[in-house]
Amino acid sequence: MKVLENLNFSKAIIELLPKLLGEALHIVVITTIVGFLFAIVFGFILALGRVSKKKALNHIIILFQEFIRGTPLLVQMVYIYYVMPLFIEIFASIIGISGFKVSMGSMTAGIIGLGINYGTYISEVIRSAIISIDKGQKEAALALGFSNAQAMFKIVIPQAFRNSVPVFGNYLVMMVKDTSLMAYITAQEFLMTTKAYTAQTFLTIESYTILAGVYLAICIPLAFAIRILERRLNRGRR
Amino acid sequence: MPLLEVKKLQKKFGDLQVLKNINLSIEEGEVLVLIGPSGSGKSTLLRCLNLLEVPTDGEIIYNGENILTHKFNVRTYRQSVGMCFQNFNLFPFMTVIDNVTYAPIHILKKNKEDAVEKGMQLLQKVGLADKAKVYPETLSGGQRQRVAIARALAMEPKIMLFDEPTSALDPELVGDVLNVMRELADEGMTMAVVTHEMGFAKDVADRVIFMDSGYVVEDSSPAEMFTNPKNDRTKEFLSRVLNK
Ligand SMILES: Nc1ncnc2c1ncn2[C@@H]1O[C@H](COP(=O)(O)OP(=O)(O)O)[C@@H](O)[C@H]1O
Ligand SMILES: [Mg+2]
Repeated sequence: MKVLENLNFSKAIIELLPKLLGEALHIVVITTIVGFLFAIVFGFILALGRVSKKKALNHIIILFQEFIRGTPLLVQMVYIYYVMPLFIEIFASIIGISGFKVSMGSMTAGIIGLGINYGTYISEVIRSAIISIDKGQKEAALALGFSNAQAMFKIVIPQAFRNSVPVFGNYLVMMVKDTSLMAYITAQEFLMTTKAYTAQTFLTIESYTILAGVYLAICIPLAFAIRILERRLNRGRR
Repeated sequence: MPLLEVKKLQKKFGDLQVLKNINLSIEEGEVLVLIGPSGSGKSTLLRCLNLLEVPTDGEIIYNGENILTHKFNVRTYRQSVGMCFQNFNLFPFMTVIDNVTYAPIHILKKNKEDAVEKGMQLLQKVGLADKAKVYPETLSGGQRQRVAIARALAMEPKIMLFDEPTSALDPELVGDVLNVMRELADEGMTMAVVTHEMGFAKDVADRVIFMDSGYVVEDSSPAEMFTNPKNDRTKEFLSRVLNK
């Protein structure tokens, strides 16, 4: 087996790993953190819209959710990266600003894509957590003299959030892995960096094994940390 | 003038008319006990009294003011009406003392020390001062209900509503809750209590109201109600619950 004899892991580790743990890691971490916060805020807003009594708002949000869930995340990212700038330019020229050039950074597009996509899924988690809180909780708050909004934000939503944390954790780990899709919109994240390195060195087996190892080294401890956090939050629950 | 007066009150859920022409009044310091078969509308009536349900017709007059007009401040009103539910509805993510002080701090804007001091007095009163720092999940049903009473009292209400406060409890835990309620009544708290505890009704009530299918069928003193009921439906109900 010539291939196996020629394996050169030490070279690949020395050359590729610093690249992965440098700029690429930076991109992955920032994208995940910002993208995830965006997803939670966005998901939260969608969920509030869904539990509100405004029928029209409900329908608009449902339509939007179907739209996001019915298309692949990769396509959404590509759309945001390549098509959105064109739309903005067209819109700019319609309202009379000519020669307006928009360039969308690949990381920005990644963050927006991940945020919207994950936010859509997370909104369903938050929504079902909100409606699963016993109606008596809100009534007790109202009976004490809290307003509807206060009862919601001070009593119902904190409990719903707490109940959602385990699921949030799973989504966070998934998001780390899905940053790899940004390779298709030219972001120099792990996959793109590894691909570029193999193209130069042909150390295919070594490079992609290292790549997989890097994802594992991030995702396993992360999942573990989330489980600990979850246990902490479980204190004081019925 | 009664503290609270209900006139020709009606409540429909869709096509289902649950309250049909309810008239009653509660004087300050009075203990009113509501009895009646399940489904007769007792909870709905109580919930109408603090507007957790909005009546479809009629009037509720509190201190001479109709609370069903648009300009009436529902939130301020609810602050003066304490409510205890069958299922306690304590806030599970807060300790016992936080449950008690949360509304005074956030609604009445009391400072924390004062709220805690008052809260501890109330917990003392319901016999649970030693449980201040624990979460509700660690308490028995009877203890939870007593915390719920302390929580309601912390808002210094003018009237307390109790909706079957002991129905979800194991029989041996009922007594502690009823004793707390008895004490409240002795201190002159105005109370409206839905209960199946006929002993409590006999001893503590100033007036007993028997409800059936959305009507107030009989409204009299406990002595009258339990020894000499006028209406056949009242007789039938009482013989059923008293002979159990
Ligand atoms: N939110 C609601 N929607 C529809 N029907 C209700 C609602 N609340 C109560 N009811 C109905 O009203 C009737 C009276 O209920 P309730 O006031 O709870 O009676 P009670 O407390 O005397 O047992 C029952 O038939 C019940 O099914
Ligand atoms: Mg009831």
